[in-house]
This record gives sequence, structure tokens and C-alpha cells, in this order.
Amino acid sequence: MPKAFLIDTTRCTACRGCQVACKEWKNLPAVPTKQTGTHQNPPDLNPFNLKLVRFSEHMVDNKVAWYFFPDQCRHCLEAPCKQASSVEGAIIQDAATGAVIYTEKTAQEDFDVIRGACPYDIPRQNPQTKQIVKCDMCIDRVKANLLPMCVKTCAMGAMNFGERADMLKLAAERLAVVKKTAPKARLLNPDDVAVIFLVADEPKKYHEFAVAEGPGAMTRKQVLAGAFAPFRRLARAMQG
Amino acid sequence: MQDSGQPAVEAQRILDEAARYADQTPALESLFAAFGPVLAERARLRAEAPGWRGELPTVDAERFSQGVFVLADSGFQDVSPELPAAAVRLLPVMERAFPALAEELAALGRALAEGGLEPELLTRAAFSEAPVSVPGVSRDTLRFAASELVKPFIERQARDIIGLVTELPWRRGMCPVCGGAPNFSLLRKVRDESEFIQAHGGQRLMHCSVCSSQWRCKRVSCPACGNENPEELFNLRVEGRPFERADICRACKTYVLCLDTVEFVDIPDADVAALAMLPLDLLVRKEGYAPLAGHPWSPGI
Amino acid sequence: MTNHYTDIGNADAVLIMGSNAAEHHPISFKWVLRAKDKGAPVIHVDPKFSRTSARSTFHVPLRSGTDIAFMGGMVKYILDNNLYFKEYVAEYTNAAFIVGEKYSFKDGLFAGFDAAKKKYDKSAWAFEKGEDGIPKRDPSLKNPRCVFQLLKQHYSRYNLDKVSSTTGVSKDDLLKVYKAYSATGKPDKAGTVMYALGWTQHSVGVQNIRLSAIIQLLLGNIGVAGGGINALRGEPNVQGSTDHCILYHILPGYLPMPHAGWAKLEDYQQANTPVSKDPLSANWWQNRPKYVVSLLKAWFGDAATPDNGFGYDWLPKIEPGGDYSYIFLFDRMYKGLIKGGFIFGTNPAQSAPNTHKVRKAMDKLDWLVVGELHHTETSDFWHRPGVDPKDIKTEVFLLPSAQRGEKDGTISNSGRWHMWHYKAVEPIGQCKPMGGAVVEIMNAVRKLYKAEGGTFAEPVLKLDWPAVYDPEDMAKRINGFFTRDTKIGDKEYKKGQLVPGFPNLQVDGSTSSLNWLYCGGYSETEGNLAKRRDLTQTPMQAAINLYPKFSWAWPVNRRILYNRASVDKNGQPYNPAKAVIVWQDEKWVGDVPDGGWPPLATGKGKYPFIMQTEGHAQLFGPGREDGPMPEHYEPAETPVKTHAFSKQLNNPCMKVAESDMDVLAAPADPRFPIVLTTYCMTEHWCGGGETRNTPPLLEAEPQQYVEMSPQLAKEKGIKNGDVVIVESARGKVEAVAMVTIRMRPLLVQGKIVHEIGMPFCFGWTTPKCGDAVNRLTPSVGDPNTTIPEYKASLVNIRKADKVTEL
Repeated sequence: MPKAFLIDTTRCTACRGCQVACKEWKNLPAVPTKQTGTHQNPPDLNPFNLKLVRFSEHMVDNKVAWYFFPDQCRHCLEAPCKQASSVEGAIIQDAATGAVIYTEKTAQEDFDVIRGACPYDIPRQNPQTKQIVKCDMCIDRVKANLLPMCVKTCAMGAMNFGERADMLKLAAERLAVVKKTAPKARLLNPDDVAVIFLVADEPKKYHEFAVAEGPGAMTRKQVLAGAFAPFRRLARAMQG
Repeated sequence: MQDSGQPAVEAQRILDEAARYADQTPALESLFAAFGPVLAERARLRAEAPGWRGELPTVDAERFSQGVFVLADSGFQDVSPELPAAAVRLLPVMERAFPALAEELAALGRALAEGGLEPELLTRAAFSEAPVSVPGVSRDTLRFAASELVKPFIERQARDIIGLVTELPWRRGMCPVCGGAPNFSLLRKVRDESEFIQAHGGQRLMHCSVCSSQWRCKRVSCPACGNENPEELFNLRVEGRPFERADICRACKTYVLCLDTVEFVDIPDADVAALAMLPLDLLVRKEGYAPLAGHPWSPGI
Repeated sequence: MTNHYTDIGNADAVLIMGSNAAEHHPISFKWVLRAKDKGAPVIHVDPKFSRTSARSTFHVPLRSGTDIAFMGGMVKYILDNNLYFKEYVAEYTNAAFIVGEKYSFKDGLFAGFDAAKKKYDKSAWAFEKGEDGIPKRDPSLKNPRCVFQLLKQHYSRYNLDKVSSTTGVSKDDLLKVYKAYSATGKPDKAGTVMYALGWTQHSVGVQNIRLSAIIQLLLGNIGVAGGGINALRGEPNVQGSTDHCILYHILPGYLPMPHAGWAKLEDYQQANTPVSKDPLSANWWQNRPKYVVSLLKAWFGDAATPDNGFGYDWLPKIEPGGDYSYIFLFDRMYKGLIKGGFIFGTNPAQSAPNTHKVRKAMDKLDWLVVGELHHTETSDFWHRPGVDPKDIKTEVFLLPSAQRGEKDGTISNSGRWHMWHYKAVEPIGQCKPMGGAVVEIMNAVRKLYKAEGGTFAEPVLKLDWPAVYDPEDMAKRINGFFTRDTKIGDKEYKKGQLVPGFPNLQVDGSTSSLNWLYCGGYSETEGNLAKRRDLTQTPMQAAINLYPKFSWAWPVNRRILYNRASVDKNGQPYNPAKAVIVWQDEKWVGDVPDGGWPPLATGKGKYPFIMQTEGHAQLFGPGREDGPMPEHYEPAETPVKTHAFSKQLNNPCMKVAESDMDVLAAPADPRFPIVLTTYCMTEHWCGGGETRNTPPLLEAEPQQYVEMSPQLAKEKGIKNGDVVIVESARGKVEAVAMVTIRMRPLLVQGKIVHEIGMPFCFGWTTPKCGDAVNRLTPSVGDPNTTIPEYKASLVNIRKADKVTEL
């Protein structure tokens, strides 16, 4: 049965437990960072931070709105990155869970194409190994019936994980509650992704790539990705 | 346990879980192969069972809070009328699962079908209230088969009852519905809408060996003797299985199996999970501790 | 806390002031949101918009150091609009007491001020007593010299205009808060006040809390479920360490520190045993001599006899009026008066005010022992930036300490719950719990004294000192034993038996107890009650989340202090739905009452505020150093030259360290026009000594920053992310500018005042993360506690042209 996340940003306090737990579970090193005038740190996703809490603040009616967005791969049901892939077995989708997985073979991919294909700007490349990396839904854990690390660690109940049908139900329930005080509340691309965000305000206020505003943007990328993939594959084959 | 209430879905879920556990622990493969289909058929019977008939019993909150379980006076409703039909479905599955008992189980099936055994007597055999004998069937086999047959109907009735008392405080080691002893327990994370911070430890639920009701029981306490001294309460685990443990009390020398499901995606069926913990079960017995209640596969029960 | 964490959920209104509860006391906030879910307004008053503000009903920014003006306005609002709980105020507080004729208040000064000594003669504030020795009272509250009228008069000056122009809070916002909160003045409503270091760390810290107590008393919010004054103490076990006397001015259990003016035990006892002539006053501190003698017996065992004042003669005694707190300890060190010492689990070279001075002071030591988990700015002060280690004579020893999870012991949480914590893992390497280190060191010292003798050896050799450190044994010693077979009433106790509760402690040396407050926490029959995890309770207790069998609370497992004030004279609760105690069938049920006496109406009762000499809560508090009623004074460093309430600019009694390195900015100093406040951060713990050594946390919060409003940034030509220099009269700090709308400019006296905020967790031992913010803050303290004024000082900022620290 396909799995899904519900990330309820209205419950998130940006404690960043998920951000730290993710890299601890995956044994990723701490990266050297600088303070750049925001609590958001590291400033962006990178090969060693596959989960990142994004901070944003807005003055609305003379009141501060402080938003937190625990960003990660959305595990799209029809993943554009997979469609853009030109290397067999580099980007695969686990049938049981729906997890989109990047394998070692992504090192042979054209990184710009894969990153460009993602409407959420998630993929990053390890400069040493050239592998493209992103959240893998903690597939090792999920296969062992364990929650993804970010969900396990979340103290506020913002991160939820389970059967897609159950998560959609929970999402609808929470949305109804949140809408009472935040009429602009919505779910982000719930029909297209396995990682469903609930936001209380316009998605762009949380993060530039919070939502894939369709059908335009996403289809264009999909089409481009799909159209060029065979040529790239061919080109690669010819180069040996 | 999440429960769809649909017989086929319930049964399939148990078979899938049994298969997954069998994959993890090849040493138990034959046990899962045997018990899996039995548990699945039992689940199917449970999902189809009639439940509590007529008006639900009234609960005196005061008496209940003093430790009088719901069915202390009345007991379960008689399930005997359901047994002949159930036997036709469950006994053949059991025959295939336990070839060594096949002849006895077949004899039992015949006795029931041909009127050689009153269903009421079979029910009594399940609760070992009276000596019952069936020609060609040993007492152990009779009791095993009887309790397997009765169980789905009792479980189904208990499900209707437990709702009466979920809001009332019950802090005992025995079942609030039928007074049965727990043969299994689990830690479960509970989602609380109003909470700013959610507890990570989870609540401990006891699982009744008789009617499979589950009830909350304080983690740092012995369900048998009520001991709360942390120095006398400890856990044992087997290597490589961090989520399975036996909660042991040094004071009264008992234990109950406990599955920590706090970081689980799905909570497995209690019987399937308990079967997977058989090596731990055996280890703890070897250390000299006794379970509060056993399972059909438990040695010496 | 007068109340406890799970009780916050009972509140009908929550005022969070001087605290960022959601970030720094998250468990408390869980209960805040429970109250909010049930309809309670949650009000956050704080200079900075934080996660607490984000989750509150509304956030009101105010200028640091103006809390008294803000709350004084609320007192006026409550009195002007008759919103106070009349019966409670008249019967349970000292509102009706008549103050003596010597009392006056003029130009910001109370009667009895000695300008040369910066001290008050408190006898000028005494109550007028009748011939029976009992303070005179006017129950009608009309007498012009009764406390109620004086209070009314005192706060009549705190009108909306003055309060608004002082605090920078708009009049609308003031009214919004006053209205929402004072709605809890009804008998069946409760409001809770939650505060932390945002209130205490001021030169008027104690009076901030006093004034919140006055508001709570006017509204009848003390002693009730969902009410109280609730100090949020932290994971460093602030509650437990204060109870056990981490401060110089008290011995364990809030017993005054002996000074040279009290040479003999009798002198000490006489000076510290209050007397009330009122038969209805419990005057609980009249029992203090029993607690003192029991403490001395616990320290000196059989060696403590009546002949030697039970060992009182051996105690070190401070100079009367001497100040031995953090600020003045380092002042003495700086002046070369201290040769060496021990520092456990604290990092003054990072967290003490005016850190430049503190670091220099440590250079004057011959030796220093530091017990720590990691190298800190304190353990490594001798090779700090800009110093040649060869020039430092100090010999430094670093003792590796066990971490919290590596040791057994107790923590007392904010709600006074005494909770046992079990060791999870063995300490690594040679690490030891601090208790173990202290016991071993002292045993070695005792051995030397025994072998070689020494000056005044008795205090060392006569100690009843354990051979090895055992937390369980310590817990028993804290509870206390009978030192001989004893009969109390008709009950007999054997020598060596644990004392069952402090009412059994004796003045004749027959009992011992290391801390009377905790007596009763370890029982002969039930064992160590700090280990209890029983959640059972009666339906009445369950209605207010009392959980009386979970752990154990001092005193005598009372969960809500002064709970006799939650009932009327007949013992019936003012709010029956959330009753704390009730008199039923000739006994009290619910919480443990403040003494078992029957209700007042029986004639055999006692007034509810049993720790006060006269049994009444003190709206007028003649015991504090800086006045019987809180008055607005500007912080030691203030952006204004004058203020609207009086000519007295600063707290006339505040403690100020004096040395060549202790410089203060002048009022409205043009060089330092900006207000600085400092605070903790979620990702780093306290001074950061532990968490800066945790790479993923350092990754998330790597460097010193300064939060400022976009308006200020624009004024100063600073862009978000620029490195800036923050400079005070005492030092400079480099920080990255975090330009945020969460900080707002404030309109004060018709002019814009900017406030900036900085965390104090970054220090030089972590490369390129910045260095102590406390190099900026002044060595100025509250006159009662000498807590430093970390929360309000003056600075200026400019873009850095050269970066060295980051």
C-alpha cells in the first residue's frame, strides 16, 4: 500500500529536531555554516542536509506571521525527476511504498536536468561522488515497519506518516480545523505527491518552491524532461 | 490494532504479517506457517461474529473503579450455538496446520457434526470448567481446539463491551472486561490534538489472553503484583530485536511480553507479534520467570 | 512556583511576561495551550516576538526594564474599575492593616532613606500596632493610612499616558491586556502569571515579581487552581539548587546566612525568629530554630552539642551587610582578594556580566579547579584571545564531570516536585558526578588535617562527612533522622529512624535534617517518595490535574501553596468546579492544606498566608530592601534622562560594582542610544558550553547574531547578514545582523527607542562563533538578590570594517 506524509506546518515550531535527526540517522556530517541573518541554517538543502526547516516572516495587518516549512522530497506519485532520468536504474520508485529512490547510478545523470525537472527544487549533488541525493523516505526504516526518522523525532505532531488513505483523511480533518482561523489554509498538491504539506497561508510565503502551481509549470517540465530523455540516453550510449 | 471489520482484509493482513515475520526469523518459519492460517481464519470468524446481543450490560462506575470488571457477574453470552458452523471452517485449517493432531481434530469435528458432542460442553472445555471427554481426542487437544473455536466470538463480544469503560479509570493488571490475565502488551504512541509536545514514550496497553481486549496500564509497574520499585522491574531482550522485550518483575517472578510500537508504521496483530517473540519467551522462562498467561504455542500451557 | 506545571491548564487567563515559555520551558507551554484551547486568553508581553508570541492570543512588545510601569498601570486599572476580589483582599491580604505615621513616599523615595548608605531604615515602614501587639486593621479599607488606600494612592500616578510613554506600549494594547487579565478578579476565575529571567535580571527584579504578586492578590489568584506566581526554573535545577542554598545569603531551606553580628546561636535564633501576638496567625517561621538546629545536627552529627551551639560556633560568618554574590565575588577577585577556588558546572568567563573584568579577575588567582564536561571559556581563560598564557600565573585543574544521564539523583522542578532521575549509562573515562568529586576532595582534606593539623580545624574535622558519595544516602540525610530515641506526643521514634515530616523536627538536637523543606520526602514505610510515579487521584483532584501521588512536592507534598486562600471562612471553595481544598465532614480533602487547622469561621482556624508573620499576604511588603511597594525606576543604563513617575531615575538601592573596569553609560547617553537585551536560545543550552560541542546543533546555530528591527537597520545602513560591532561602555562584540520584523521600534517619551537582542551562548572556545555578549553588560544588581541586570543596558551598533571574532 502506498505511504504518505502529512506535514502540518501549523504545528511546527521549527525546533529542527527533524533536520538534526535526519542527518544523525543517515550518518551525514555536520557542514560548516555561517550566520547569514536568519535562523535558517544551513541556508539551503545540500548533499548532507536532506531535510531543512525553512523560516520566513511577514507583517500581516501589523501582526507578525512567522512561518516554518520543514522542506524535503515530496516523493511525487509520477515523479518528474524519474521521467527526466536517462540512466536505467538511477531513479527508481519502490512499488510497495511509493518512495522515489536515487541510486548510486545517479552519478551518471546530468545533474542540472534532474534538478531542473523537480518542481520543488530538491535534488542536490555530492561534489565528490557526483551522486545526486535527496530524502529516500528512510526506506530502510519503512521496510522494517519503522517510521521515517523525521516523523519519529517530531515532538509537536507536525510530521505524520502512514497509509496514503489514512494521511489524506487526517489532512482533511486538520485542514477543516485550521481553516476556522486561517481561511487561506490549504494542502499542497495532495493529488500529486506523497509528502503533503498543510499551510495556513499562501504557499509562496513559506518557500518559493513550496507548491507546484499547475498545470503549467509542472507539465512543461515534465514534457521537456520526457521529450529529451531518449536523446540524452542515446547520446550517452554513443559516448560509451 | 487498527481493524477494518472486513473479514477478508483482516485475514489477509494477518497472513501478510506472518509472512513478513517468518522472513525476518527463519527459525520460526514453520510455526508461522502453521499458526498463520489459523489466526487468519480466526480473524475471519471474528469479523463475521454476531457480537453482544441485546442491550449492553450497565456499568456501575463506582464498583468498576474499585476493580470489579464489567462481566464479573454475568460472564460472556453463550457462544455455543456458533460453534458447529465455526468448527466446519476452523478445524480443517487446524488439521492442515498441525498434522500431528489432524486425526484428533477430525474426530472432534465429526463428534460435533454428528451430535456426539454438545456445543455447550465444548464451550465449557474452552474455559476448563468441567471435565469433558470426547472419544479419540486427548484432553489437551480438546482444550486447544475448544479455546480456538470460542475465542473469535468472545473477542467480538468484548469489542462491544470495552467501549463502555474506555473513559473510566482502570489501573489493574487484569482485563477490565472479563478479568483475564494479559499474555502480551504493547507500547503505543497516542496522538493528542491539544498537545504542544507529544510524549515519545507511548502508553503501555495490556492485551487480554481471554478476550483480546486492550487496556492502559502504567509502564513502570508490575501488572501481577503492582510493584513499582524501578530496581525490581527490568526488561530482557534478544539481540537484534530492539523493539521486543519482556517486562519482568523480580518481586513476584512474573513477566509479560511487550512490543514497543512507538516508532512503528503499522501495529501488528498481537498474536502474530507474540509468536515472533517466542525465542524471548523461552529465554525468560529459562531465567526462572513465569508469564501471567500463555499462548497456544507456549510450552507447558 | 506557588502552583505547578499541570495546574497551568486550569487558568482562565495566562499572562506570560519576562519569559519565552514556548522555547525555553516547552513543557509549561503544553499546559498553556490546554488553557488556551478551553478559551483562556494567552498574553505575551516581551520586547521580542518569539515562538511564544506566535502561539499566544496576542503579543505586546514593551521596552526592557519597564515592567513595573506596565503592571502599575494594571493595578490602577483594577482599583479604578473595582475589579478586585473584595472579600479576599479584605480578609486574606494586609489591605486593612494600618501603616505607621512615619511612612511616606515622596519624589520616588520611601521614608527612611539614607542616601550615603543607599539603604532604607525599614522601621519607617512598620505597621501601627494596638496595645495587644497586633497590627491595627480597618476592615472597611477606608482609613487613609490603611494599606489599601496607600496602594491606591501610590499607583494613582500610573495612568495610561505615563505608562504608555514609558513602556512604549500603545494605550490600546495596554487596555487590551489590562481588560483581559483583570477579568480573573471574579471569585470563580483564575489567572496565572508565568515569568522567568526576563523579570528577575533587572535592578528592580524582586520588585517586578512583588508587583505581579500584588496584582494576583487583588484578583484573588493566589492559592487557587490555575492561579499563582509561577517562576519557570530551568533544567539546570534552579529550583533544587536554590532550595539547597546555592546563593550566599541563605543556608539550605531559606535560613538566613549567619553573620558576624550574630556570634552565638542564641543571637542568630533571636534575630531570625519572628513573633506574632495574633493567635490566629500560624507565623510558621516561629519554628525556624528547630530547622536551624536540625541542620547543624545533620552537618556535625554527634559533635553538635548545646555547648558548642550545635556547631554554630564553627560556621563561617559573613560581614553584616556584606555582598558575596557573583558580581562582588568577581569584584573581590579582580581586586586580588581571592587566591583560588572551585567552579562546578558554571561558566562565569562567559555568563557573568562585564566579562572582560571577570576574565581579568581570574588572572589574579593562584589556582582554580573547574569541574566540567568540556573545555569552556572559564577552564581555558588563561589562553583566551589577546592574552599570552605565559603571563598568567594561575594553575588550573580541570576535573572531568559526569553528564546528567550518567548519574543518579534528584531534580526539583519549577512546581517543587522532587523527582528522582536514574543513571542511564556509566560515566565515561574518569568522569565523576560532582557530589562524588566533592566528597572525595573533602575526605582528602580531612586526612591532611588529621595528619598535620591546621588553623581552626574543627569545622573540617567535626563534620559528619560520608566516606563515599551515595545519592540515596544524601536523600536520607536531607530528609533527616532521629539522633536518639525520642517521644513526640504519644509517638515513639527510635534513634536512626527517618523523621516523618518537618513538624517533627526539634530544637533540642534530637533530630537532624539537611533541609527542613524536604523533610518527609523519604519515608520509613514508603521509601524515597521522589521515585513515586503513581497517577491515581480522587475525582476532585483529577478535576484540577493535581496528581498528588506522582513524585513528592515540598512542603509536605502540598501542590498549591497558600491553598487556604482558595476557600472562604467556612472552608468552602470560591470556585467549586476547580476546588483545591474543601472542608468536608470535619476534615480537609483535596490538596494538603496549609496546616490542618479547621476553617477560620470555627474560631480555631488560622489565616491562610502562614509563612507571613501576621498571616496575611503582603500588598504592602515592609521586608524588601528597596521599598514596601514597587515603584518604577529606569534600568541602571537608560535611554531617557528623566521619567514621568518621579525625580528618582534609578533604583536608589541598586548594587553597583565599582572599579576602573565598571563604567556605566550616562542616562540618555548619546554614545549609546540603543537598548540591549540578552537571552537564551533553543538550539544552545545556557552559555553553550555543552551544545557548541555538538556539531549538528552548531551547524543549525553557528554564530553570534544580533536581532534588530528593519527601521534601525535602515537608520544605521546595515543590511541583513552584515557583521556589526555592538559596543557598550564596557566592551565590543562582533555579531551578524539579523534584521527582523520580530523586533519593533518603540515610541518612548515621544521619541523612537530602538531595542536589540542577542543570545549569550557563543564563546571563543568554539572557533569563529563569536565571543561573550556579557562583555557588554554591566555589573549592576538588584538590591535584594544582586541578580545582574542582563536584560537592559545601553549600546550602539555600526557596521564592522574588520572582522576578527566570526
